[in-house]
Amino acid sequence: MIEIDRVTKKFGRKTVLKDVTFTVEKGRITCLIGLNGAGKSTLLKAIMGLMPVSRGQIRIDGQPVSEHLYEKVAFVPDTLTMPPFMTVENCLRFMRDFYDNWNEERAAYLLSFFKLQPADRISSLSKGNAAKLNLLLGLALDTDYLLMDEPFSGIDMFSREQIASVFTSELIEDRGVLLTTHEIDEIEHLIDKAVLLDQGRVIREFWCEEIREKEGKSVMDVMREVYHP
Amino acid sequence: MIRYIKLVLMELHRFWKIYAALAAITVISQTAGLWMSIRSHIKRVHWEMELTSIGTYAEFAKTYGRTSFRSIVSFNELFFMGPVMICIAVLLIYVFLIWYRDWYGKNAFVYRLLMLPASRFRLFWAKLTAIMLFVLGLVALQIVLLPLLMAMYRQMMPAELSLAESVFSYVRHHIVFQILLPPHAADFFLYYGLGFVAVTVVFAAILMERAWRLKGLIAGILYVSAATLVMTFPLSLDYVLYPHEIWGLMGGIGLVLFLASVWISRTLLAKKITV
Amino acid sequence: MKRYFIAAIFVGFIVLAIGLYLGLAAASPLPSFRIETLEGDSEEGKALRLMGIFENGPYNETVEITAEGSKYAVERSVYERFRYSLTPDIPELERLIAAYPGFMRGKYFSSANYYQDEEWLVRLRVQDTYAGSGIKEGRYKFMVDMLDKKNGQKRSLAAEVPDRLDIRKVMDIQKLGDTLAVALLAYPFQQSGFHDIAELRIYHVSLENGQISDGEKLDFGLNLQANQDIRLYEVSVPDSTASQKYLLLEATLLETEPMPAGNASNNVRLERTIPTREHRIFIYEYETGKMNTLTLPSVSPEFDGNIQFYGDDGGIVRLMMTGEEIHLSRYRLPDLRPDNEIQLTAADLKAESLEKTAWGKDRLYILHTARGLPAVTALELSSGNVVYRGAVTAAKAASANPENLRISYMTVRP
Repeated sequence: MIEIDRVTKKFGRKTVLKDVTFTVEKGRITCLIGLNGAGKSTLLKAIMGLMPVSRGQIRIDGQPVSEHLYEKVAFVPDTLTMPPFMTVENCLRFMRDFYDNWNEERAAYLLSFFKLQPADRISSLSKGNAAKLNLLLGLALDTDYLLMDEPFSGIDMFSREQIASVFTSELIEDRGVLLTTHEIDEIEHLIDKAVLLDQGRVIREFWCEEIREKEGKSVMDVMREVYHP
Repeated sequence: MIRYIKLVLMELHRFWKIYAALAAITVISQTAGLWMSIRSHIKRVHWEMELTSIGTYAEFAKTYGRTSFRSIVSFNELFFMGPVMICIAVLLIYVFLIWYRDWYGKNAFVYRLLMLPASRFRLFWAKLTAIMLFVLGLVALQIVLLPLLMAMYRQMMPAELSLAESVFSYVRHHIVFQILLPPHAADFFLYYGLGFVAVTVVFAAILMERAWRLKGLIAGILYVSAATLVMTFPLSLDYVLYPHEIWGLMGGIGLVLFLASVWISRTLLAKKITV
Repeated sequence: MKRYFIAAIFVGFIVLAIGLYLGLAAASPLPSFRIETLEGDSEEGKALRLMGIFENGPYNETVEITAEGSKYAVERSVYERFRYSLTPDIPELERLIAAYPGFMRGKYFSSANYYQDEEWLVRLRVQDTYAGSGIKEGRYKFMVDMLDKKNGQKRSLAAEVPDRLDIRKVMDIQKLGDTLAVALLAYPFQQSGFHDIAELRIYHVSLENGQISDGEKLDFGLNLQANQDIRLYEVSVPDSTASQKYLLLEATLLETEPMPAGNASNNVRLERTIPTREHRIFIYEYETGKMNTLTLPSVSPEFDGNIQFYGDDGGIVRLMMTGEEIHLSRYRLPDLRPDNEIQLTAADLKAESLEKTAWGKDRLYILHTARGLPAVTALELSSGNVVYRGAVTAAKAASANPENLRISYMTVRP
C-alpha cells in the first residue's frame, strides 16, 4: 500500500497541498481527481521523490520513501521524459541498462501492441505515439505500483482506446495504480477508488462501486456535487 | 559501479558531437594556421633574399637569424590559441549545461535521471567524471598535436632557417600552455585538482539553485564567492605564514571545500531537489 | 559493447597521452651542470652559487649552478616559484629563517637589519611616523625585536629617534653589552628643497628600557662645500649579521647643482661624481667611538678595471681587477699598516680572463673562464694562496654545451 499521510506542500507562501491523506492499495486503480491547479501532479511528484514535502509522510508498503522506491514504483509523467535525439530503441536500452526489473519480453510485446518503430527518434513521434512509449516505459517495469499523470492528455481517440485497453489487461492486474486524469468518463468503469482534491485538500475519498450501490451515483455525479454544489 | 559507468557513458554520448567538433576545430585551425605561417614566412624570406641579393638560406640566417617554431606560431597566434579559448569557453558553459539541459528542453530528462534506482549521488559523480574526461581529453589532444605540429614545422621549414626547440621548452615559455599543459607532474595535478574542486563547488551551487530556485541561486552565488574567498585567503597571510604553511593551508581548505561541496550535493540530490 | 570499447579507447588515450607527456618531461630536463672541484677542498666549492643564462635554442634559460647541480627557473614547480617569490634571495636571511623560524615569522619582508652572536639575535626596523595628512615629519622609531637564543624568549621595544631626519639607510647595527648601536645614513630633515650633506649618525639604544641616546654625528674631516655631498657605501663583510668591531665605509665625493631653469621638479638636483683616484675608507670603532681614515694610494689614470673593498675585524682589503690581473692590498686593523700585497695574473690562476669576484670569510672567489668554460678560483686573503679551483661541467657530456652558458654573477653562502 502507498500511504499518503497528512502531506503538506508549500511553494513560498502558497500552500499547494494541505494535510492530504489517502491510500493506494495494491491490485486497485485509484484515480486522483481535481480541477486544474488542485495539486494532483505535485502530489504524484512528491510520492516519487521528485519534490520534497513540507510536512507529512509518504510510505510505500510501510517503508518511508528511499532510493529503493524506484524498484517498487514506476512513474509515467504527463510528458515523455526522454531526450529528443534518442530513438525508441535507445530508450528501451536506457531502461534495460539501469533497471534490474525491466521486463524485456513485456517491452517487446508493448512495442508491437502500440505499433512503435524502434528506429524512430523521440523528436519525430506524434503525441499519441509519445504517450504510448511513455506508458510502455512504465508498464515494462516489474513494479508493484504504477503512478500515471494524465495518461490520456491531448491524444487522439483511437490512441486513448488503445491505452485504456491496457488497464483491463494483466499488465495492470496485480499492481496498485494511482492516476490523474480529466477524462473521467472514459475510464470511470475502470477505477476502483476516487480521491477528489480541491485547492490542495482531499474533499472526498470513496470506493466507486460502493457509491454506485449505496447512493446510485457515478463518479461524475459526485464530482458535480463537490465542485459545483 | 556498472551503473555509474553507464551514466558516464551516457553523459559522454550526449555531448560527443559538440566535443568532436571542438577537437576538429582545434586540429584544423592549428594545422592550417601553422601551414599558412610557414608558407608566408618562406615567401617573405625569398622576397627579402631577392631584395638584398642574398644567395642562400644560410646567409640569410646569418644576417637575419633563424625563426623558431614559437615565432612562426606567433605570426598567426589566433589560429593557435583561438580554438583553445573556444574549447575552454564551451567546456565552462557545459559545466552548467550538463545539469540544466536535463531540466530544460522539450522533454525534461531529469525525471528519468532522478528516478533511476539506487543512489542519485551516482548522477553527480557521473557528470563530474564526464566533465573531467572532456577537459583531459582536449588536453591529451593538444599534447599529441604539439609534437606533430613541430614535426610539420621541421618538415616544411628549410633546415638553415629553423631553430630547434623541444615541446617542453615551448610549453614552459608559453603563457597559456604552461598552465594548461604543465610539464611538471606536481603542477599538472595541482592545476587540474584545483579545477576538479572548482567544478564540485559549482555543481553544489547549481544544485542549490535547482533545489530552492531564486533563494538557491542567491545561496549558490554566495557559496561560490565564499569558496573563492576562503581558498585564496591564505595568500594574504604571507606576512604571518611561511610559504609551505600557506600551501598546506590552501590544500586543507581545498579538501574541506571538496568534501563540503560533495556533501551538499549529495544531500540536495537526495532530499531537496525539485523537478 | 561498441560504446564501452570507444569509451575505453578514449580514456586510454587520455591516460597514455598525459602519462607519456609527464613521464617524458621528467626524463628530459634541461641540460644539467655542476661546479666540479678540480683542486683543493671540495667544501670550499659548496658555498658557491653561480647564476647564469643558458642558451636553449630560442630561449635564454636562467640557471643556478652549485656543487650539487643546477636548477633552472623555468623548471621550478608552481610551489617553488611561489616560495621563491615570498622568501628573500639573501643567503643571510635564508639562514636566519631556517635557524629561527618562530622569531623570523612575518619579519623577513620588511627591510631590516640583523645582528646575531652566540646568545642573541636582534632585529631592527625603522618605522616612519607621519603627520595626520600623510606628510612626512622626519620622525622615526626604531622597532627592535630580540631573541634570547639560550631560552628562546622574545622581547620587543620601540625607541623614538630624537632628531628630525630624512633617514636613507641603516648601515649597520651592533650589540654592545646591553646597548644596540645603530649606524644611520641620513640627511637633516627638510620639508622640501634640496638636502644638505649626508650624515652618518650613531645612536645607542638601551635594550633594557628602550632609552635612546642623542645621535653622534660622525665627522669624516672632509670640509665639504655647499655644492658638494658625500656618498657612503658599506665595505663588504663576511657576514652582515655577525658581530663586528668596526663600521667600515667607503666614501665617494659628489658635486651637486640645481636642475636647469624651467624644470618642474624641486626636490631633484643634478649630481656628478667628483673624479678621484684616491680611495678613502673610514673606520669607526664601536667600542671607543674613534674614527680613523685609511687613505689609499692613487690609482693610475689608465686603470679601467674593477675596484672593490672588503673588510673584517682583522683588516681591510682593496681589490683591483682587470680581465688579465688582480692586485690585492691588505691593511691591518686597527693600526692600518699595510699587511701584504698580492699580484696575480690570469695565467697564474690558469684562467683565460678574469670576470667577477665575490667575498667569503678570508676568501676571494674569482669567476673566470678556463678552456672556454666558467670556472672559479678561491684565494685565501691572509696568505694569498689558492685554496680551491673548480669548473662548471655538464652532467651528461653530450646533452649540454657549456659554451652556451654565460654566468652573470656569483654569490657565496655564509
